[in-house]
Amino acid sequence: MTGDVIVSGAARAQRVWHRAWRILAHHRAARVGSWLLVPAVWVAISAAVPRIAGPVPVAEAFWEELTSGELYWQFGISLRRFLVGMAIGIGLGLVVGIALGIWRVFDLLLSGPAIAALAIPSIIWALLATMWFGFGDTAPIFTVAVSALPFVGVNVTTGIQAMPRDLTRMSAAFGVPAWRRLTRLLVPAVTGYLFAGTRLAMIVGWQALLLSEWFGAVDGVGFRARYWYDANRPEGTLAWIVLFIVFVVLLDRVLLERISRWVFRWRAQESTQPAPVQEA
Amino acid sequence: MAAIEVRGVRKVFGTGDHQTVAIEDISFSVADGEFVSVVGPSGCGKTTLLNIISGVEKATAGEVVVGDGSEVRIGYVFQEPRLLPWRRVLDNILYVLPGRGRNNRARALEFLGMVGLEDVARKWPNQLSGGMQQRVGIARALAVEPALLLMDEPFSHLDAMTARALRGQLQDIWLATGLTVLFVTHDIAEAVQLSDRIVVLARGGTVREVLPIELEHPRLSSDPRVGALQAEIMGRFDDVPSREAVGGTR
Repeated sequence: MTGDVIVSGAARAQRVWHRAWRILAHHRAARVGSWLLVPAVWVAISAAVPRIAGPVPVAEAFWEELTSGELYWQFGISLRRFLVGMAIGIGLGLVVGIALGIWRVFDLLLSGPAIAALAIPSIIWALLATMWFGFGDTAPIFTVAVSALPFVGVNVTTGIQAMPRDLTRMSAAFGVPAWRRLTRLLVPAVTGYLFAGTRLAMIVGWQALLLSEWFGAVDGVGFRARYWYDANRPEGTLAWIVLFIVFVVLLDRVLLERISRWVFRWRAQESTQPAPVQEA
Repeated sequence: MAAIEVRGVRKVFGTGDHQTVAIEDISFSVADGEFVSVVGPSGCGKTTLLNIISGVEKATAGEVVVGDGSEVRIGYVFQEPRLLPWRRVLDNILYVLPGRGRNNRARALEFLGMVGLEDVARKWPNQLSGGMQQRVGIARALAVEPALLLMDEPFSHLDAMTARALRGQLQDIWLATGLTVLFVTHDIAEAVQLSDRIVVLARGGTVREVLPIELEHPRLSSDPRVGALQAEIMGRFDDVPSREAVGGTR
C-alpha cells in the first residue's frame, strides 16, 4: 500500500516536473523570458550601483510626468516631428531609390554619395541641423528625414535592380500597360526591400530625433530627457529613455511586423499538394 | 486567327567586338490555324525567335508579319510558369487581360476551368504544384483570346506524367479553338505528336529543314506511327556531329 503511494507520488512529481519543463522549454516561454531578463538585470545593477536609478524611482518619475501632462504634450510634439520627418525621408528615399534603380546615370552619379550618407551618424546631422536651422521644428524634422532617406533609397534601388527579369519579359510579351506594371509588378517586387529599409530608417530616425531634440529643441522627448539630465535627476532622464525604447519596440514589433505579415501573406503557405496526374 | 511570315530574320546581341550572332538567317511561314513546332540544338536561337515574333525583342534584320500586319493579340507560355507570386491565381490572369470588370473575371474563371483549375482561383501560386502553376500559365495565355499562341518548351520542367497529361489537354484545346500555335521544343516525340509541321533549326540559327507530319489529329504519344516518325526524324541527325545533335534546353 505505502509502496504504491510512494511510487504514485514520485510518478506525479515526475509528471509535474515534465510539464513544467515543457512549459519552460517552450519557445513562448523563452520569448517571455527575454522580456523579463532586461528588467531583472536592471534591478540587479541599480541595487549594486547607487548612481543608476532602479525601476521604482524611474516609474515614480514617469508617473510624475504623466500626471503633470508633460508626457502627453512632449511626446505628441516628438511624434509629430517624427511622422513628418519620416514621411519626407521615405518619400524622397523612394524617388531617389527608383531613379537610381531605373536609370544607370543616376546610379553612377549618386550611389557613392548615398553610401557616404549612410555612413554619416545621426549626431552629425543633429548638430549641423541645429546650427543651420536653430531651435524649433525644422532641425529635428530635417535630421529625421536625412537620417532615414539613404536607408530607404539604397534598399529600393537594390530591390529594383533585383527585379525578376522573367516577370518583366512576361509582362512585355502580354503587352501589360505601364501603370499596371508599376502597381502590380514593380511596387510589390520592391516592397520587401522597402520594408527592410523603412524598418531601419524608423529606428535610425527615432534615434536622430532624440539627439536633435537633446541639442536643438525647447520641447519634445529629447528635450525633456535633457531637462532631467541638467537637473541632475537620472531617474527622470531614464523614464524618458524607457518610453523612447518602448515606443521603438512597439513600432517595430506591433505595427511594422503586422503590416509586413499581411503584405507578405503570399509567402506564408508553401506547396503541399503533389503534382496532379491526369491521363490524356 | 493569324498566320506568321518570318522573312530573313537575323539577330545579333551586343556591339563591336562583343557581338554574338543568335540567329543567322531564318525564314519560314505558319498558316492560319496551323500547329508548327520549332526544334533544334541548344543555342540555335529558338527562344530569341519567339521573343522577336512576340515583339519583346527587335530583329537586327529581316521582318516578321503576324496576321494582316495590324495589332494581333498574342498568348505566350514560357518554360517556367512566370506567375506573380504576390497575386492570387485569378489575379494573375486578370493582370494580362486588357481592360477590367466582371467580364474579365468570368473569362479568367472560364479558362481556369478549361485547364481544370477553377477551384484554385483564390490560392497563391506557391500553394500549387509545378504542373498546376504551368496550367495557370496556359490558362493565362488562352484567356487573352490570342490569335497566335507562342509556347517555349512549356512542358520541359515537368515530370513525364504531368507533361503527358498537359500535352493531351493542349491538343484538345487546339482542336477545339483552331488557334495558330508556334511551339518550341527539344523533344522530337512531343513535336511529332502535336504538330502539323516541324521546323528544324541548325546551330548558328538557320533553317535546316521543314518536315510535314501527315497523321490525323488527335494523336496519342503511344501511337506506333508517332514512334516510327520520331525514329525516322532522329535518324536524319545521324550525320550531325554528336555535339550538334538535337537536345538541351538552352
